[in-house]
Amino acid sequence: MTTPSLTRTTFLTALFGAGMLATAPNAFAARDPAAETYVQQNASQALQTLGNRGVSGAERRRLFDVLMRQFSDMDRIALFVLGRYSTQLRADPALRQQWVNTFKDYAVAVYEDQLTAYSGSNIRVTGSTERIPGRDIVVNSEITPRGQRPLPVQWRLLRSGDAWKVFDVSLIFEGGNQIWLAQAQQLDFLSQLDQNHGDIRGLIARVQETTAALRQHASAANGR
Amino acid sequence: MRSGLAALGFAAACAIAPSAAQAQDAQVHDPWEGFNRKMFALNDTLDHAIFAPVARGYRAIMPRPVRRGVVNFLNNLRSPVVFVNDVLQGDAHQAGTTVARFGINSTIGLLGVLDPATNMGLARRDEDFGQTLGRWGSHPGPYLFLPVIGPTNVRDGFGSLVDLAIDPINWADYDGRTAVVVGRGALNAVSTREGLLDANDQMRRTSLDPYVSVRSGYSLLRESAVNNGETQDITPLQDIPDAEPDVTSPENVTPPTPAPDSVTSATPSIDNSAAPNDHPSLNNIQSSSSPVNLGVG
Repeated sequence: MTTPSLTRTTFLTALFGAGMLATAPNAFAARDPAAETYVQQNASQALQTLGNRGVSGAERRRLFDVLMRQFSDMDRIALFVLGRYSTQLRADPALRQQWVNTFKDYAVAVYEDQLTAYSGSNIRVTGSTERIPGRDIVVNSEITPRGQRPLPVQWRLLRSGDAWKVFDVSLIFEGGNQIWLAQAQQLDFLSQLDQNHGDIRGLIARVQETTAALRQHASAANGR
Repeated sequence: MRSGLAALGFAAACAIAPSAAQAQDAQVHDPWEGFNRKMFALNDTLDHAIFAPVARGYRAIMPRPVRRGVVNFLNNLRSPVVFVNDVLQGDAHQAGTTVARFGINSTIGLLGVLDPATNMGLARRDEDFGQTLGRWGSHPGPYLFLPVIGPTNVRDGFGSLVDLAIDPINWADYDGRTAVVVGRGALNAVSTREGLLDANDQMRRTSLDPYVSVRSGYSLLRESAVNNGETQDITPLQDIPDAEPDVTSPENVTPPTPAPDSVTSATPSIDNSAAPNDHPSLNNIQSSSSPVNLGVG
């Protein structure tokens, strides 16, 4: 007659044990307070800027543009997303310049489109993990839109001169899986370039079209 | 039956054998791109006519907490499949978490409608047989896009069939099984599509080629899923080019980048007291009990 009691006890013990194991912290992750502060301050500023209704839409976009170009290592990302095709740019500085400027405009427009949904949200940095001390670090954060659950976001920072700069951003989905956006962008651009026989000028034209459409959408959404 | 098993065997063999293209290139292996693009276009037509309007109607009628409850309920129903895959992957720790989550959410969480286990630190991690095959060393195989089902690949498509066979809801002997199976499938489809509404609209605005973006997003998410969200899939520093010094644009010439502290003037207060009811749309991409489906829309 004691079997049911034992079964319950075993079950509850197993449940408790599983819970304790699952919540055990990782005690070995190295953190970098400077990188964490950098993300906290600049990401907060970006979200605040997008939520600032006290300025015109054009001024808001200008401020956001300036901030994102400072916060992110756009030059490096622009080369990375071209993958193996970036070697073409070494021989053609004018094309390189044109590509980098086109990509920066596109990236800022995409950031604006994606982050507008979170404008005015709070961001809280929750930690960081050094991949290569002083050179490569992943900062963990949570963005909490009003009335909703925190959305985990990771920021990969690389050292650029004397400062950290954001190289990639990862969205972490429910279930724990994630997408690094620069990697996804690289796959998209490589596919385009494979299709057009590596014609970077052709890619530039497509990217500029998309950027113009994004700007038009943003202006319409702002009603000004 | 025999031909079905042969097809499954062939699918598994394709998935396990790495292609030459994958060995040389990190890009998605898509030898059936012509077929896939036609299926993608067909899916678009169906989506505009049926799926998206139904999902928008569901969003309009159901308040956010109810929709969240549906997602939680469907996730909880999938726990036996997740548990079996935890075990097959040899992850006793995660298997324990899955059992604990199922026990807590099925009781305190009112049959899984609520998710108190997450608030207790027992985070949900989805597992399926496609991921299990990945953990065992299987490559994804060719990419495949199917109408309604969305993006997949040979490995994950085969894995989905195995998951269907594992799921006790599909084979247990109980009254009204057909109605339950069909009802769950329909609810799952509507809930998944609703969760993707905003993300899909956003992807279509920002993408140069939505077919490619769905393919890239699916492949990266599945790679992350196989690695359990860890950072093995992050690009190594040596593979990232340095910005070349002669790339100059006006904002790089003057003024130099300000020190981090001077970039912002204020940090807003942190308010985490908001009710944890729902994620923004992007976070719903994997919130259903089905494999990732970025293909709708």
